[in-house]
Amino acid sequence: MNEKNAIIVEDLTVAYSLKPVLWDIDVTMRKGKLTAILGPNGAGKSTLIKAILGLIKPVSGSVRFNFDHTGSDWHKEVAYVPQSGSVDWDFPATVKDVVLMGRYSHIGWFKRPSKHDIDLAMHTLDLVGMADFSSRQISQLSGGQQQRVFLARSLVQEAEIYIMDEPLKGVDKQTEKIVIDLLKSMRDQGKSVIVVHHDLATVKDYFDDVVMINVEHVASGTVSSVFTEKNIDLTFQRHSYDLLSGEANE
Amino acid sequence: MTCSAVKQMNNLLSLLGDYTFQVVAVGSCALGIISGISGSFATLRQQSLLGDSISHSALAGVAIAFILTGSKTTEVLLIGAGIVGLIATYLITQLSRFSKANFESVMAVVMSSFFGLGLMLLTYIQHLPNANQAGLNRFLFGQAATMLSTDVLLILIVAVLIILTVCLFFKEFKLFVFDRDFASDLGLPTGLLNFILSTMVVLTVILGIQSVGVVLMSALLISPAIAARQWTHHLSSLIGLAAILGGISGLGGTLISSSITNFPTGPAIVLIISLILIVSLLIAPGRGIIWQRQQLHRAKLNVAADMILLHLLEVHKSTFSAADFAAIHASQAPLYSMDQLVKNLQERHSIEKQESLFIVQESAIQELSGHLKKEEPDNA
Amino acid sequence: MPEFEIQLIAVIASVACAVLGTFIVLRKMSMLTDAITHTILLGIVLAYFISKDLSSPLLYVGAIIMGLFTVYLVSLLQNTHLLSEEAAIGVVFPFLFSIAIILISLFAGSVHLDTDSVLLGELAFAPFDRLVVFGIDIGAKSIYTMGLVLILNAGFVKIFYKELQLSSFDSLLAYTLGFAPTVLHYLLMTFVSITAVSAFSVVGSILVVAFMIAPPITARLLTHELKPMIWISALIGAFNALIGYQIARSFDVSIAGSMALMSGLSFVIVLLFSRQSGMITRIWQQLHLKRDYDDMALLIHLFHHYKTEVQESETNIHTIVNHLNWEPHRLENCVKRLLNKHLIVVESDQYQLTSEGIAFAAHQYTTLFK
Repeated sequence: MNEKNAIIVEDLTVAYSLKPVLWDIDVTMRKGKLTAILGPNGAGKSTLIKAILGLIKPVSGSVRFNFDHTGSDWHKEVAYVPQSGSVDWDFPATVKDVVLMGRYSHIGWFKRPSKHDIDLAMHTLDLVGMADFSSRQISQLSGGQQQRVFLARSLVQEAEIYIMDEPLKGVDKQTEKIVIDLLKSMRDQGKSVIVVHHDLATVKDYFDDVVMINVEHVASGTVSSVFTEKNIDLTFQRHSYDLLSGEANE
Repeated sequence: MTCSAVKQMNNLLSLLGDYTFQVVAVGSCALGIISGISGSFATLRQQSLLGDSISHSALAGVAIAFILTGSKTTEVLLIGAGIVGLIATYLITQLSRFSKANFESVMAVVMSSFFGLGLMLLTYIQHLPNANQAGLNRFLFGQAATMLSTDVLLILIVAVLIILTVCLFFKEFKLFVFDRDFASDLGLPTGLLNFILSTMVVLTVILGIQSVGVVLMSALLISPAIAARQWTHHLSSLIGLAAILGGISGLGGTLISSSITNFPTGPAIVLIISLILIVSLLIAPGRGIIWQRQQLHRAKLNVAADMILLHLLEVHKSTFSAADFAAIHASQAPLYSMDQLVKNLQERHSIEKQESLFIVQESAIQELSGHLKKEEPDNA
Repeated sequence: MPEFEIQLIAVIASVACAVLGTFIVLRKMSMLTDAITHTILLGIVLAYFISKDLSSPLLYVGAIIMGLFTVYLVSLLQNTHLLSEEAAIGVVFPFLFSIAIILISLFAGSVHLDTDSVLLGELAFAPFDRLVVFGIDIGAKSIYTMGLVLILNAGFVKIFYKELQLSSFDSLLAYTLGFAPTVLHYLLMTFVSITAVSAFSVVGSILVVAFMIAPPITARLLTHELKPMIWISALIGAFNALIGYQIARSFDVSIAGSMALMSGLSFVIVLLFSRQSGMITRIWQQLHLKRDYDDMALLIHLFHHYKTEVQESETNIHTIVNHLNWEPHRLENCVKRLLNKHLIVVESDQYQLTSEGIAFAAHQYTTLFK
C-alpha cells in the first residue's frame, strides 16, 4: 500500500444510460499535493470525482482512500465542493448559516453549534475574505462571493481531502486569486486538494500534479514531467491516439 | 358606549365562553400553527402545490378506510387519507421521473385520478349515482363546526410532535432543504429526512382538510409561510412567524364564522390568511411591492437628476445658481420638477447649497466624469 | 337513449378538452388550468348577483372573465419575484374560491347554486335537460353546448395552429417574429375557460382537469410530433370516457369519478407497456445494457493491460475479480458470454483476447470517439 497516495482509483469504468464515460481508469493522487484533473468537456472529469465520492456506481473497479487518521469515517475526511449551480439562493439563510452547515457532521444530531464551531466558521470566512459578509443574506451575493462561501463551508469541515468541481470557472480575478492562494495554503498544511480545472494556461502556476483523462487515462504525474504538449494533444484531440499500438505515456 | 356596541360586546363574550366555540377555535388555531410550520418547509422545497395533490387524493383514502374498517371515526379515516396521500406523493415523483413528463402535469393527473377514485368509492358506499352527501361535504369544504374535542386532542398531539421534531432536527432539515447533495455528502440520511418532511406535510394536510376542506387546503399550507418569508430571512423566525400567522387565521376565521350567521369557517380562515399575505407582499420592508415601486421610482429620479447635473457641469462647470438650473431644466423638460431634482441631488450629496449658489461636490464630479466629453484620443 | 346520450356528451367533452389540453401540457399550465376550473365559480356567482337569473348567458361571460382574471392575477404575483408561480397558483385560487363560497353562503343560500356540482358535475342528470327547437326534442342540451365548444376549440387550434406551435416551443422566437405570445396565451386561456364553464354542469371541474391533462401526457409517450399528439390525445380521451362509463355502470358509481380514474389508469398502462418509452421496455433495456457494459469493461480491461508489466496480475483468472471489484458469479457470467463469442480464451491462468477480441475492442473504441 502506497502511503503517499491519498486516493487510489483502480480499473474504474462508469457508464450512463447509453454511453460509457470512464473506461478502466487506473490513477493515484498524491497526498498533500494540489492536483488538477484535466480533460475536454464530456471527458468524464465530473464523473470521475462523483465516482470517487460514491455518488454514482461504477460498472467495475474501485476507489480507495488513505487517511492519516486511521478508522476514519470517510464522510468526515473528504470534503466536496460542487459547482454552485443547483441551490436556491433565495433561501432564508445568512452567509454564516451556510458556512456553519459544513460543521454539521462534527456537531452531530440534536446539538447546536458550539462557540468553537462559530469561531471556526468566522475564521474560514476571514480566509476567503468574506468575514464582513457574515450576516448578509445569501441572495445578496455575487457569483464569486457565493463560490467563496461554498469554499469556506468545505474548509470548515476540517477534512484531509478536498475535491472541487471547477471552482475557478466564471469567477472574477479577485476571487480567483483569493481561492488559489487559499488552496495553496491548504496544501502547505498537508491537505490533499483535487480540483477539476478548465484553464490550461494556469496549470503550471497553480498545480503540483495533473491527471489528464479523456474517457480513459491519458497521463498523470507531476506537472513538470507530464504536462507536455504531446499529452495535451492526446487528451484534447482524441483521434490522434493510436490505439492498436497501445501507446501510453507515463 | 352605545347600546348596540354593548350588545355586541356581550355577544362576543358569550361566544368566547361557549364550549363548542372554544373547541373549534383551539382546533383551528392549532391547525393553523402546524400548517405554518409544515408549509414553511414545503414552500422552501418548491413543493407548494403538492399539498393540493395530497388533499385531493386524500378523498380516496377516506373512502378506502371506511370500506375496509367500517369505522367513521376521524382517526381511522385520517389514517386512510394519510396512507393514500403518501402513496400519491410517491407516485407523482416516480411517474414523472420515469415518463419524463412534466412534474406538474403528472401532479394534476394523479390528483384528479385519485379524486375520481374517491368519488367512485363514496358513491359505491352510498349506492347513489349522485355524490351529493353530507359526509363528502365535510371533507370537501371543511366543517370545522363539527370538530369534536377528541379531534382537537389529536390535532394538539400532532402539533406537539411536529414542533418537537422541528426543534430536534432543525439544523438537519435546514441543510437538507437548502442543499440536498451537500447533506448527503456529509453523510446525513437524506431519504429519512425526506420521509419525515413529507409525512409532516401529509399529516398537516389530512388534519387541515377537516377545517378548511380539500380545495382550500393549499392556501392554508402555503400562505402563512410566504407571508412570513417577506418579513425575515432567518429560517427559525420564518417558521415561528408562519406558525403565528397560521394560528391567527385559524382563530380569526372561527371567530368571524361564529359571529356572523351563515359564514362558512374554512373560507373565513383562508380569507384572513390571504389578506395577511397580500398586506405582507405589499408592505414588506426591503422586499415588498411598494418598496420595489419606490426603488424603481428612485432609480428613475436618480437618472434624471444625474442627466440634468451633467448638462449643468458642461455648461456652468461646478458652480451654478438656481436660475441656471431653472434654465437648463426648462430646456430639458424632464418628468420631474426642479424642486424634486434639486432635493434628490442634495440628498445624495451631489450638490451643496452655499448662500445663493449650488456647488457640485468632488465625488459627484468624479462619478459623472466618465460621461463628460473626453479629449479626442491620439490617432497613431 | 339516455345511456347513449351520456356517452356521447362525455366523448364530445373529452375530445374538446384534449384538443386544448395538448397545448396546456406543453406550456406547463396544468395546475393553472386546475386553478381556473375552481375560480370560475366566483365569476358565475358574481354574474348571478347581477342578472339574478340562473340560466342567463351572463353567467358564462362572468366565468370566462374570472378565468382570465385568475391567469392575470397569477402572473402579476409571479412578476413580483416574491413567490414562485406554483405558490402564486396555490394562493390565488383558494382565495377567489373562498370569496365565492362566502358569497353563496351569505347571500344565495336558498338558491340552488350547487357548489358540489361545480366540482363534481353529474352526467347522470344531463339527459334530463332537453333542447327543444320548434317543439321538437332534438336531444339533451348538453350535446349541443359541448358540441359547440368542440367546434370552437377545434377551430381555434386549426386557425392558430402555427402560432400555438411556435409559441409553445419557443415563445421568445414567437415574440420576435411578431406573434404576440401574450395575446395568444390569454386567447388560449379564454377557450379553456369557455370549455371549463360548459363542462361544469355535466362533468365538473375535476373531470375537466383529467380530460385536459391526462390524454396529452399519455399521447406524449407514443409520439413526439405535435399533430399526431393532438389526434391521439383526442382518441385516448374518448376511450377514457367510454371505458370509464362502462365501469361506472357496472358498479353503479360516479360516472365522472370513473372517467377521471380511467384517465389516470390509461396513462399508467401506456407508461408501463409502450414499446417506445414504456417502463417494461426500459427495464429490459437496462438489463441488457448492464450485460453489454460488463462485457465491454472486461474486454477493455484486458486490452489496456495487453503487453504491460502488470498484465500478469491484472488478467489472472483468480485475481481479476479483485481488480474489477465484481462478485464471482458476475464475472463467471461475463466470461461465459465472451468465451461463447470467441472474444477471449483462457491460457495458463490468464484471460487473453483472441484476435477477434482485439478487433472488437478496438472497433468499440473508435466508435466511441467518432
